[in-house]
Amino acid sequence: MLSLSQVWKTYRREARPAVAGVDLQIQAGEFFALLGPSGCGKTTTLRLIAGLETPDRGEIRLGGQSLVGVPPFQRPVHTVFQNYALFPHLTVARNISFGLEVRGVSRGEIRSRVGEMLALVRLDGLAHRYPRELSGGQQQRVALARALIQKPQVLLLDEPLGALDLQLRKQMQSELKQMQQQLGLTFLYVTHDQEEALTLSNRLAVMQGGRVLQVGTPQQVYEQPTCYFVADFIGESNFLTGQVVEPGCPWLQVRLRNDQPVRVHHPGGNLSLGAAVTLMIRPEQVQLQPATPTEPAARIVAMDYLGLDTRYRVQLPGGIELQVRQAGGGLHIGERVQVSWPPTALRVIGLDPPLPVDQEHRQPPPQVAPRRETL
Amino acid sequence: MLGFIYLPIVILVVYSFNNSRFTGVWQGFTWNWYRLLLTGSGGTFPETVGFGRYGLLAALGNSLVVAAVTTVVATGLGTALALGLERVRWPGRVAVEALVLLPLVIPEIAQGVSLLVFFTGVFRLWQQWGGGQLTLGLPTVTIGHITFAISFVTLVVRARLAALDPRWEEAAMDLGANPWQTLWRITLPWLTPAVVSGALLVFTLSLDDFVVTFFTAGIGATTLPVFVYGMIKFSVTPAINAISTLMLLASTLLVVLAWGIQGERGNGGRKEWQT
Repeated sequence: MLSLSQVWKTYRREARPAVAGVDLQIQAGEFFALLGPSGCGKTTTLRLIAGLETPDRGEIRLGGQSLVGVPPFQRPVHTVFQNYALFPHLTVARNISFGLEVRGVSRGEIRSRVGEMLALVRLDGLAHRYPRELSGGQQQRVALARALIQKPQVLLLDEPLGALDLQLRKQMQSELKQMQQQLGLTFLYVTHDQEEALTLSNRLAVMQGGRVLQVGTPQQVYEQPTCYFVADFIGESNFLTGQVVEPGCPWLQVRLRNDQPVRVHHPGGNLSLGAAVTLMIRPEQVQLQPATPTEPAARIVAMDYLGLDTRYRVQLPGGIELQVRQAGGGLHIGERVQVSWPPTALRVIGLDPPLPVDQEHRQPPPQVAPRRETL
Repeated sequence: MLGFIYLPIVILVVYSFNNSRFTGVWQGFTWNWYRLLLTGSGGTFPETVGFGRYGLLAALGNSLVVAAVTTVVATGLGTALALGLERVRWPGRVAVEALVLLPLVIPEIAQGVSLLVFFTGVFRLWQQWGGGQLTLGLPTVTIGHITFAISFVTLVVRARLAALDPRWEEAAMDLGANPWQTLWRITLPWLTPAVVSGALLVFTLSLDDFVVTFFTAGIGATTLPVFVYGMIKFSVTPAINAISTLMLLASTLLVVLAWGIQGERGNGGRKEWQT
């Protein structure tokens, strides 16, 4: 329903594009999250869709119609701003009715719709308060109601829960998701909080340096990250480098830097003999068992008790270190352990695509090198 | 230091109650000078103050008319200029920005002389092109006042505009308000305190102005300060002190009012605007 194709935006006096060739397809009724670190271009993407910024190039279409050149006040999309941007001189009710007032909706209809909205966000009784008299959570609800009352085709949310404390954020998360499902709305949700993106969204896009690195369901993005940045940014990861010693599809054999051979599931398989590869495995997929005294074994060098599970740092023979998360105790520092994992847990990770360069005279930034390389 | 600043004013006020024809010698307390000024009669020496067509009340009336027109026009133009400078990017903006503030430091005498030269020049041209005879008068005084008053309004309004959170305007646009609706519903309500205090400031300045008025007034367009100056030429009586005291009082009240509005509704002042 909402589609962006090859959208570019470079701010004045900035060398690097804030948004560099973004392609996105968002379906009606989806809870779509844009996830990335600060400065990755996610908020700019949102502002481009809202019409608060103009793209240098590219096409933004909503329901088959181009939005490029349409001023923000004529777009059927509305925004819940970071820190809300409530109008301080208007009451809660007038904040919520603002959009209807400027469109010349009749007083009677405004009154009934504002009433509905206040009930929906559970703010009845606060209609005549001013924003400064509300708590952060209540202000957040006013911002939501103010945008929702106009029945936007897409609701844009820019880190809407960023200013709330953890407990309130959890509560608002579930309310938002419930509301989105009940009303059948389309949400485009910008956040830098990976957990928020994973729990809330139907699909998400991971952004970095102005481009989209991967789009998929939370499960796909977590379990099958396509590149180093995604694997590193979402969840915890171990990265191992090695060389292909036996190509094949879907199984290939890789020799790690410590000469240990491992079997890797790589259905995309077009890696040739001798190719250097980066492998990734999530700490919770690695299993530890006490080793018998005779077999070659790994050693636990550090551990942190986290309540739900324990994080171990394990040193394999040959000097490779692995992060392991495992429930249940019974292991201690210095203990010799056997390390194993399910056969499909090791994944081949591609290098990050090079950062796009918009103009010739600008230097592409250096490639990000794997940081947790321990060999 | 404060005594140094306020001593002459204290003396001025004290001697406005002097029961004497002359300012210099204290002869006892009286309200007579005020009664004379306010009612036109009853004072001890009514002949020292002129009333009627060329007198005190006419001058006061002229001052109020000039100040009122100046305030309305300068506040409107000054606010528009502030919005133009702060919100719209156009070539020459930086130059205009500097030029707007310049009148605040240009010596008033230079402003007065330049306006006089300008008006006489324009009038001559107007006559040459077949227009009628034009003379200096209240309209020229008003135009003169407006020229310096705009700068003050722009200065005050811009300061407040700079403190406006741009996200409010963005949010208004995002919710469907076109630029005009955003201006009327968000920007101007935010600017109101600055506009009001700018207007009060300009009203005071116009009411008190002597130099520019003196050069642009011509005959018969006497404002209160010019009238007082004229009185001194005839005789220095406590009536002048009384008039000055009343003007001082009016100006102070207006400035305090302007401050009050700025302070009460100013940045982070009035609770309505706190978030």
